[in-house]
Amino acid sequence: MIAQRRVCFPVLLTILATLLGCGGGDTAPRDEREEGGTVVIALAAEPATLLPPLVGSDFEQAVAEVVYDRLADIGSALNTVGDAGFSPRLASRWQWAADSMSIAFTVNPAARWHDGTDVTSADVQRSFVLYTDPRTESRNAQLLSNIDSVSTPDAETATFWFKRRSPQQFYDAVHHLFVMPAHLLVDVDLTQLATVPLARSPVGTGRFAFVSWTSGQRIELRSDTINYRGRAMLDRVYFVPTPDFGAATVKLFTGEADFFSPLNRESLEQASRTPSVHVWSYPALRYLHLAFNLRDPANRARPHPVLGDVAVRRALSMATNRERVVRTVYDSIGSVAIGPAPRVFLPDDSLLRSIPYDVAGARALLDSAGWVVSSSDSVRSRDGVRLRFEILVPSVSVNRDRMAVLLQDQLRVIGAEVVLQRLEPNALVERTKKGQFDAWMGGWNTSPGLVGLRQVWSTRAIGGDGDNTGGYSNSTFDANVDTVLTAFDPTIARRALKTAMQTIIDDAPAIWLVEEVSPVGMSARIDPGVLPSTGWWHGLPEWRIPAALRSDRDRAGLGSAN
Amino acid sequence: MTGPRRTRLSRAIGRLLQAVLVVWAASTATFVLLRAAPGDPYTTSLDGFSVPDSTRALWRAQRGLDQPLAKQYALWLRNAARGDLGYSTMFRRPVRDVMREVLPRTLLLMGLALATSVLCGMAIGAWQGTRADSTGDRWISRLSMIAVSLPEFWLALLMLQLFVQGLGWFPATGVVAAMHDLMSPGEQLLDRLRHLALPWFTLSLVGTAWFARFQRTSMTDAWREPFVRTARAKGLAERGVRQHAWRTALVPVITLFGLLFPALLGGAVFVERVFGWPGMGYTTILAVGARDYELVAAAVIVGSAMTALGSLLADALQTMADPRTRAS
Repeated sequence: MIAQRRVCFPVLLTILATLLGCGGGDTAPRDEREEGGTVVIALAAEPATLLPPLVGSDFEQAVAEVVYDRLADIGSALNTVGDAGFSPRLASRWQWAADSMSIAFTVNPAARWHDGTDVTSADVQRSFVLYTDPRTESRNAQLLSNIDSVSTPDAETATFWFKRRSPQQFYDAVHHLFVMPAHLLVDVDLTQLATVPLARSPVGTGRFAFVSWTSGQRIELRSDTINYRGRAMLDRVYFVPTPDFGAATVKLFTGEADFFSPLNRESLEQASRTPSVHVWSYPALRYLHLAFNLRDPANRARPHPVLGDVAVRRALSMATNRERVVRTVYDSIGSVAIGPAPRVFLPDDSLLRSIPYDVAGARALLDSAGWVVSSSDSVRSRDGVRLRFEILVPSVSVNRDRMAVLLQDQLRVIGAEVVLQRLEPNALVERTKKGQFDAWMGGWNTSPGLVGLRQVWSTRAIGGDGDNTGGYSNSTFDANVDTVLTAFDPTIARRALKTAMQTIIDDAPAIWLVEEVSPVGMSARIDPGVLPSTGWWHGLPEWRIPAALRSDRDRAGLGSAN
Repeated sequence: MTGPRRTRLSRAIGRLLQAVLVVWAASTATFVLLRAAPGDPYTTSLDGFSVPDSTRALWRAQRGLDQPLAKQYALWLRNAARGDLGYSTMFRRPVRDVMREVLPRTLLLMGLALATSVLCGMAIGAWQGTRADSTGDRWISRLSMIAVSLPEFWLALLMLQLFVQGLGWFPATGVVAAMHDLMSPGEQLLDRLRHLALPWFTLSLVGTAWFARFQRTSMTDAWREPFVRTARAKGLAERGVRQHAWRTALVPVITLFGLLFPALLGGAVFVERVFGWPGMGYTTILAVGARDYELVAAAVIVGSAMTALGSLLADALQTMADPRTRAS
């Protein structure tokens, strides 16, 4: 028995040491190639699909948009008028029709699908159908609504026919559509598009090719070494779903993952103490606000008894110290929002006048509008109506909750009573869509082209399919937004944008709170170049790991799995 | 068939029918309640632009969500009875395929945690019971009290901070490393074990503490029974005495076995999330948020079936362990 114990103990120790340590020596030969390296990216969740028409979230786009290509890519200036600044991708060139009602794209003759098949114009046409047929459950169909059809005069030419001339018709055609392989989508039941094999084993034309997807564990991409645009600089990329934020940052700081986005304020501090991690950031193209309901929830035909009054809304804006709110909640990863569009889309935001922080001015404005404090109540009232309203807060957003608490505190000072109501997202969306709210802590993901201005704030977006749930309506704003979206002359468009923005800022249908910045944590050995504001993943094929900084992980090369 | 055997058989059939009824009731309640909650799989996402109502109506019609609730229920029940669990709107795949992937991972984690909890908990509790009020017993009681008071998610985060970020002994999340396929078979096995270690330990710790506390109490009671004194007086060796006492003390612990099954499933939700273990628990929570009706219903069927089976198993073990139960 004793002898047996003597044998077992070292064996156990060895197993334990192997379990805990497991580190192999640095025996791999030094890799001097310019290309090379392996990057492990922690994703906030696992994609449900990699079919471009069906992807919606960042973590799905990050994978699908690396495997597939657009016909052309938007430039770094994010210009959406005409084709200025766009770079050829799957289309090697394009030709506008004389009346601008069609654009003929020539498919790059060198382009091949990752399965070796030639890319043809039929692929473009099929992709358009899959994006726009409502049966496919594609959420992007609306964005292509100005395109009537795609014809294929020959195997290399795909001609987009538009319903009307628009400054953004080129952008519409190329930015919202990734080209998919028609030969793998023959005879597909459009109601079952999500279940085709391509949804989980994508075959694209991007500089990374799909290798494998082990459900719940990882998605592997490998550099397409014979790609028509040249191979990606990295050998391979792994996307690893890591749903818990804390665990994802631990993975990053321990080197188990090389990249995670977005970091929060607390993890930034830790990143600054971790030499192996560098922080990069890019504008998130998103703004958050406290949106008011200007219509009475009980009767949408009437103005809201409190928030229907522009003086009240302006006074609430004046009483809000937005700088303090943003610094408290976001610190350096947010800036005070100007209006319903991020700065990156505004030619010169210094020309816009924000409502200033002025508590005394807010009190005076309310006094002059008849909202007064009585001796028995610290909350202002007018004609028996108290200055009281409810803010709906999505329960899943810590930052919005923190901002709502700060707003509640700041607005109390001028005699406004604010009640916070935390709701699960589905319940919140249902309440706002029905107009059953006073105010809500909202946010919008925007895109180049500013179509969101019309979709969220124009009069035509009230009710029905629009997102103007607060019922804001101003004909000056509407007219200028129409000009922004239809003017071919950039000077006229810029002038109209300034007028539209100033109009809505003065009307204060919301308190514009914050423009978020997306800080990403990345292994110090990676050089990502510039992170595009359209999404960090768009620069992934250009990420480099200098030979001198490569680890064992990077030296795995392009060899296949055993 | 003799009388007692027939009685046992009819009792077993009765318990089985009860279990089926529990599964049916739980899944039906889920079916109704989830549809009564705000939103559906095609509700606009927070911060996202709306899809036209007409398009969303078409999508709902494609999935049969435009039908009256009773008709939806009848269809779902008929399909579920045939083994067709429907379509996951969140994963955009048949529910069967999703369950086939996530269920084995949860069963592995729960099975290991349950086995560890039973074996370690009973051994520790039995040891304590025979040494009640000793210093060792008092210390272990305090530690087990702390362990049962700890919420699983907090314990999981603590483990993460301590063993991953602090000591760097184990990987943070996942079932295997990203580059698992490039490893040798031996390395692959070790890689799996290293990833399993923390979730397994976290889930086992609380279960072990529960079993230890139950076993200690029942063992202490059994240790004071007259038959123990009699056995000693008859000259039975101390080991034999302990075996007799332990068998008597087993019955309450077996009851706990049935109760711990659903508790472990609940704990697995948090442990799976923190350790990125792609199992059924965390998947179900995501599915509830996404109003993935058929995936949630399937998870409830599986979860309630597991609970009912755990209870049946506990009954059977109790009958085997306690002759009085057999006789009655």
